[in-house]
Amino acid sequence: MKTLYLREINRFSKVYVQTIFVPVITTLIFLAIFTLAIGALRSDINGIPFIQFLAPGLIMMAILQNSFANTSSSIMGAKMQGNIIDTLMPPLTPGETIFAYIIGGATRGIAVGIAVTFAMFFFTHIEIKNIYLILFHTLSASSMMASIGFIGGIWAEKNEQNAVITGFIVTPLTFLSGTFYSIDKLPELLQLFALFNPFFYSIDGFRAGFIGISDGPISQGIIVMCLINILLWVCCHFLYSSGYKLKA
Amino acid sequence: MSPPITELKITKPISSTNWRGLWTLYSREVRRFIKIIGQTLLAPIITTILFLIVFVVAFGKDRQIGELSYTEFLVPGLMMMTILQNAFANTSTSIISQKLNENIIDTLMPPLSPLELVVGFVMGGATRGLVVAIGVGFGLSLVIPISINSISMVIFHAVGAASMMGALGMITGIWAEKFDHVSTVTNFIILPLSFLSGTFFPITRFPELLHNISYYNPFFYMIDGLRYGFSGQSFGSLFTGIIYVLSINFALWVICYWLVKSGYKLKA
Repeated sequence: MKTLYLREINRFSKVYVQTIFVPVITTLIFLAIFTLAIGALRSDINGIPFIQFLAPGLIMMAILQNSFANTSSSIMGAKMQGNIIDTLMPPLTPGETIFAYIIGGATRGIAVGIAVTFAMFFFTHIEIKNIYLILFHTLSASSMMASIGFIGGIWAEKNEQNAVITGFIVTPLTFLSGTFYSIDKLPELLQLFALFNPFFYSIDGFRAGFIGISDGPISQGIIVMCLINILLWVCCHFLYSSGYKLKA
Repeated sequence: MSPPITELKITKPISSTNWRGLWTLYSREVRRFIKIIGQTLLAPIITTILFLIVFVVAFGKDRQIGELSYTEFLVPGLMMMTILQNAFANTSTSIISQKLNENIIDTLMPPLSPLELVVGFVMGGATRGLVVAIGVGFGLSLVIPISINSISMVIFHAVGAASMMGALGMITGIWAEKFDHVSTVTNFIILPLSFLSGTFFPITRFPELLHNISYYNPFFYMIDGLRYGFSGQSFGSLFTGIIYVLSINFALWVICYWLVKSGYKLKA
């Protein structure tokens, strides 16, 4: 299991320019655009300067997108090259394989998150109000996205399908879940929808850990995140042990 | 029975333009991106619409920039951003993947002159940029009324930008040895420039230094020129923009021609 985990880590550290630097640069560009476009003219959100509101959202966005990218592209890549068998053959139980993959993906998400946070230190003031909330949401969000990536990777038959999941589901949800604005700016209907959106709880709870203010109920967010993680892990387990699209 | 081989005659001198070859290369380039339409056309459209939603919601609808409402300001910027990114993506990925698959020889061997090769590739890339931009414009016009002030400026800057980025993508594809190189150029040069050249906010918001640098940034002029074409408002000099786009296009085409002719990193 350790070997599989280390392989997953090696896989992304080998191309660290693409997997770590690029997300950091992209996130900083977003920070620059929004701060320049909106920043100075914009009144504070809930008493917080806009840039401090934005920074945690962007960090969480980087975590979400990268955890997903790691597992999905790893499984997809192995399937395309036909070497997934080398991962399926060794004496690992489904639980162990899933655990290693997901922890691998989560590690990438968290590594990028940390890098982004460091980079932002240079541009804005970041303080931590509640470290437990930050840790909880970092772990739960990265694990959630890694398992979605796992499922996506198993389901997809071509790289294109993976790109479709990223482009049509992951990116829209990360963009529209309160990263860039407080959800009370949305129309009523969409606000209601946000309360069923796990991405929203991740971003909101994570941000609350930094600025101490949240849009939605924090305890509800924790429960939703725990449930969705359990659900996704069960799905992964079920898919993997059934051999769906993995074994001939 | 097929006619005996002796009946095949070269009816034209070899130096004239190989129109059929050029057309074949061009249509291959176009079919390459049409085949994966979900990734090449629909995904950029969705992304652009997302940008629009996010910015409009975060900004508030009633903000003004100059005499324009924020959406009027933003829409041309987003369209130009799609042209820039997609025209570049098409030529650069086409050439690098042919190099990696080692089938670039099939493109170099046919009797096409270097200029014909450059035209075929660049026009293929430009077509993708323009098709995506039209898709985006159409998608956005369902939500937001889009008016056109000067159609000739719109066409000039759209085509100028698409051709410039197609050529730049071609140079990158030729220079790159791995896919990584292409994505490095995309992520560290193309994306930052297309994001920070007045797409989302007027460059007057920049700190002094960056503001002054922006007047040397060709992306800024293309975005600004396209915005003028739609809204009739510009933030930089239109004349400089036109000269700039023409001369950069010319320079890049010359470089492309020269690279293909010399066989740099294309022929062993």
